Amino acid sequence: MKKEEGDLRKLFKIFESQGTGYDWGIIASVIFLSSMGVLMVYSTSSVFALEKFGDSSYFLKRHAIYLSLGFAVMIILMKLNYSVLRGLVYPAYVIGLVILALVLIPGVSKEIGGARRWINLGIWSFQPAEIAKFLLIFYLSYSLMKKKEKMDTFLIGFVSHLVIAGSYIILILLEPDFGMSTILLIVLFGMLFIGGVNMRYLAFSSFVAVIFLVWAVMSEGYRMNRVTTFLNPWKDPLGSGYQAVQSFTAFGLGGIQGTGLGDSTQKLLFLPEAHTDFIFSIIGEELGFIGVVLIIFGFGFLMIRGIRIALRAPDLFGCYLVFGCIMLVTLQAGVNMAVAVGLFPTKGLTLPFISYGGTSLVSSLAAMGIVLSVSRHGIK
Amino acid sequence: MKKTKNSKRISLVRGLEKPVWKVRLIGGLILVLFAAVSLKALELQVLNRDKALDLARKQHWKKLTLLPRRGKILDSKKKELAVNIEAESIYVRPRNILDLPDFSNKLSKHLNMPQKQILAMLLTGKPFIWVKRVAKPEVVAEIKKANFEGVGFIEEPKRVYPNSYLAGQILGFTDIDSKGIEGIEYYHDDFLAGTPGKIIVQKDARGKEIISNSVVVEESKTGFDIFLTIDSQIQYIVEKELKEGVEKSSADKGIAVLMKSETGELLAMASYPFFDPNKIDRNSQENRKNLPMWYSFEPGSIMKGFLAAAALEEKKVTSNSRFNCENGRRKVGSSIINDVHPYGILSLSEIIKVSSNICASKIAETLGKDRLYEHLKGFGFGEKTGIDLPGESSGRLRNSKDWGAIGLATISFGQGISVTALQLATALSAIANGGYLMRPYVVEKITDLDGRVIQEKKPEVVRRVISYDTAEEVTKILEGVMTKGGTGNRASIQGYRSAGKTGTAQVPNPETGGYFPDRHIASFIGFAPADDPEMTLVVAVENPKTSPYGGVVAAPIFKGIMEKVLFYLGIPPKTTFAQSRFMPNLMGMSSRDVLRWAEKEGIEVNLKGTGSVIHQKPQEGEIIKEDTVCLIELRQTI
Repeated sequence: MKKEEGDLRKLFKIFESQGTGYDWGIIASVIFLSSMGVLMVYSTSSVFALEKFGDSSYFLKRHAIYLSLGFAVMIILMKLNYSVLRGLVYPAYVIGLVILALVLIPGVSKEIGGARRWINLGIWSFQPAEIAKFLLIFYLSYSLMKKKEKMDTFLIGFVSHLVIAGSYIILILLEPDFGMSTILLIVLFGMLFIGGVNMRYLAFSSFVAVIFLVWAVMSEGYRMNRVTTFLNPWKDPLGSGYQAVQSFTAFGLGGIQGTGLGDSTQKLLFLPEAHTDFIFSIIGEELGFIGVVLIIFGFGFLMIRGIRIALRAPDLFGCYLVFGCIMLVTLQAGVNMAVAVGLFPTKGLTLPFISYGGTSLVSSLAAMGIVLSVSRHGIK
Repeated sequence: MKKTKNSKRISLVRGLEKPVWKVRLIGGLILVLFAAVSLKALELQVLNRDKALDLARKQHWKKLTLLPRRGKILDSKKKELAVNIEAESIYVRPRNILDLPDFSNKLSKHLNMPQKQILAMLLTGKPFIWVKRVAKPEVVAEIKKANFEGVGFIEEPKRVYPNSYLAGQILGFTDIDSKGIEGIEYYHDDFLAGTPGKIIVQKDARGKEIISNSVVVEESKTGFDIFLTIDSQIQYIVEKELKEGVEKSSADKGIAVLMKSETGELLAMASYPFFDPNKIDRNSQENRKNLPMWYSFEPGSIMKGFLAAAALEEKKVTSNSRFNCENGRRKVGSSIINDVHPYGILSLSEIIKVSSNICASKIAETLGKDRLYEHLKGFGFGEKTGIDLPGESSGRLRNSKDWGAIGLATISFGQGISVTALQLATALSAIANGGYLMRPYVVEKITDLDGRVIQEKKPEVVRRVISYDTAEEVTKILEGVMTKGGTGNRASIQGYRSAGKTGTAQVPNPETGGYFPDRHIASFIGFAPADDPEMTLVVAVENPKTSPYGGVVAAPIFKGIMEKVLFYLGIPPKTTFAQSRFMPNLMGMSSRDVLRWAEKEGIEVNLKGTGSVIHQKPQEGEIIKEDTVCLIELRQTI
C-alpha cells in the first residue's frame, strides 16, 4: 500500500529528473513536430478551406481540437502505469477486430475514393485502422513477453502471432488500405525479430510476404499503376505520375531556404488537399531543405530517445511496447517522407503529428503517452 | 567500461535479457531510411534543383492579377458620372502562330489597324502581346468567330462617363490600365482604384488559361465610390449657358464656377470648350484643363469690390466717402490712368457702380501698398485655395515691396495681378457669407461598396477676412452695381436681389510686356440672393469678339445661370417689393406731395432743400427695394 502511495505521488510529477522521469526528448520532439503540424496544416489548407467551406481556418480549427484531445489523452496515459495495459490487451484486441470489421460494412462507414476507411458516427467520424494499429502493438508486446520462453517454437512463437496480426492486416487490406497494411506487416516482423522468433521462420516468411506483396500489387490495377509510375513518373506527368511530379516540383521550388511560410504555389492547384498525405512536399517548398532536415531530425530524435527508453524499460512488456509504438510512428513518417521525395511509390499514409487527420493525430499522441509512461519507470 | 556495466544492469533486471542489438539494428535501419530521404531531398532541392525548377517553369499554370473594379464617381444626387463596364481585351501569343505576316494581315482587317503595325508588334519577341485593349464587343465577336490560333481574350473593366462631356474636366480620366490621369480620377486614385486580387490559373497545352480550373488566392477589392458636391443638373445649366454665351460673343474660352457661398462647396465648375473623357484622343491637350482652377488671368475691375472691402474694413472710408474722378484722366507718376467714361465727384458706392479706375486708385492710396497687399492676400489671392483637385494654379500677387511706382494704382483696378476664377469665387463668397474665407471642395464623401462612409468633407474655414459689417456694406455696394446705370445691370435677375461686379481686363502680351490691344477677358462675379446669399458665381469669357466688356458679355451669362439655378433650387423670389415697385416720376412735386407718397408706399426718403423736386434718385422706372432710401433734391422755383 505504502509503495503504491509513493507511486501515486510520483504519478503527478510530470517532469522528473532524467532516467526515472518522463523523457524530455520525447516531449520536446512531440511538441516540435505538432507545432510544425499546426503551422503547416493552416498554411496548406487555408486556401482550399476558404474555397470549399468559406472559412480559411476550417481545417485549422478541427486540427486544433484533435490536437488538444490528443495531448489530453497523452497526459492521462503517461500518468498511468503502463502495466495496467497488461490486463486490457485481450479486450483491446477484440475491440480492434470489431471496429476493423465494422468499417467494411456499407452504411456504417462512408466510402471515399473507393475505400472504406472511416466509421461515421454522425457528427464525428474516425479511422479504425489508426486506432487498431496501436491495439495490435499492445497485444503483440504482451504476447511476445508472455511467450518469451517458447518464442523459438514454430506454432506458439511464430504462427500464433502471424494469425493474430494477420487478421488485422487482412481486414485493413480489405478497406483497402495497402499502405497501412504494409507498414503493420513490417512492424510485425520487426517485433517478432526482437521477440526472438527463429530466424529461419522469419527468413522464409519474408520470402512469402514478398510473393504476397507482388500478388497484391498485381491483383489491383491501381497499385500496379503506382509502381510503374514510381519507376518512371515522367512517363505520364499529367496522369498517374502527376502527384509524384508535382511533389518533386514543390521540393525544387523550395530550394534551400524555401519560398516562405504560406507562399507555396504547388498547394494551390497541383497538390490539392496537401494538408494530408503530401504535407511534407509543401514543407519542402515553403520551408526549403532546412525545414525538411528539421522535420527529419525531429523524427530521428524521437526514435533515438524511443530506443533508449525501450532498452531501459523495467520489463520486456514495456520494452516491446515502446519499440512497437516508436517503430510504427517513425516508420510511417519515414515512408510518408520517402513517398514525397519519390523513393517509394505513392501510398495513402499520413505524416504522424503533422498531417491533418484526427484519428491518426490522437492515436499517435496516445502512443507517445504510453512511451512516456514507460520512460517514467525506466532504469537509471 | 561504463557502457558494459550499464548494459549488465539492464539485463539483470528481473532476470530478463533484452534484445539490445536487435532493437538498435531496426532503429538503425529506420535512421538509414531517414538519411535516404534527406539525401533525396538534398538532390531535389539543392544539387539537382534546376531539373525541378525547369519543370515548374514548364508547369501549366500562371499567376494572374485580377483587376479590381474601380469605384464610381457620383454627383450630389447620386447620379452616376463615372462607371465601369466590362470589355474584352485581345492578346496574341506569337509563338503559337505559324505564318505571322498572313495572320497580321487577317487581324488587321478585323481590328481596322494597319497590317504593318500589327506585324511589328508581333515581332518584338515577347511571348504575350496585347493587340487591342478594351475592344468593342462587335470586334471581339468577329475575332472570336474567326477562331484564330494564338489569340485570346481577357475581360477588363473599362471606364465610362455616361454623361459624355458633362463635368469632364472635373472628373478627369484614366488610362487603359484604369489608372487615374487627371481630375478626380487622378486626385483620388488611391480611393477609387481598389486592391488587385491574385488568381492561379491552369493552362492547357496551348497556353490558354483554363479559368474554370483556377484558384483565387486573393479576391480583388472594389474601389471606393466618390460623391461630388457637383449637382449634374446645375452643372448642365452652367455648361449650357456658358456655351451659349461664349458662342454668342465668338469668344475663345469660357469659365464658370458656381459655389455655395456659405460652405465653399462647388455646385458646378465648367470650362468651355468642353472635354469628353470618353474620347481622350479626340480632345486637345488644352481642353483637358480644368480652367477655373488652372487658368489665371488679370481680373481687371472685378478687384474693385475687394478694394472697397479692404478700405471699409480698415475704416479709411465709408460708402459715402467722396472722391474726385478727375474727368477720366489722372496722372500717376509718369503714367496716365483713364476711365472709360469721365466722371466728376462720386461716392464710394458710385465709384464701384460705374467702375472708375481713377477713383479706385485714390481709394487704394488711402490704404497704402502694404495694407492693400495684406488684404488681397487675406482674400486668398496669390495662393492656392487648396481645393481637392489636382493642377491648381496659385495666380500671381507680388509682394507690395515689388509693386513699383504705379503698382498700387494698377492693382486697385486689377492689373499686374493674376487670379483664378476659383480664387475669385472663394474671395467673393467671403463677402457673401459675412467674412469667412472657405476652403473650396468638390468631394462630398467617399463610401465603400456597402455605402459605409470612409471619408466625409465638412466645410472648412480658412480664416476670417473681413468683419460682418464690412461684408454687409460691400454687399450693398455690389448690389448697386446691378441697378440701372451700374455696369452689371444686365446681370440683375427679376424678382431677386443680387450683388456683383463686372470686369474687363486686357490680356498681357508677354512679348512686349504690355497688353494685347484686341484681346480681353470679360468677366462677372456675383452672388444671389443678396439678402441671404446662396450661391456665388464667377463667369469669365476669354477673347470675346463682339464686345470686350464684362457687363455686356459675361453679365448675361451670369443672369442666365443664376435665374435657372435659383429656380431649380426652389429659392422663392422676393416679390413684395422688388418686382412690383418702380420709382415714379416725382419731378416738379412739392415736398409735401413727396412725403405723402413716401408714407403711403412705406419708402424712406431723404429730402434736400425746399420747393419742388428737381432731382430724384432712383430715377424713374428703377426698382425700389425695401431698404432703398430715395434721395430727393428740391429747389425753389418761381
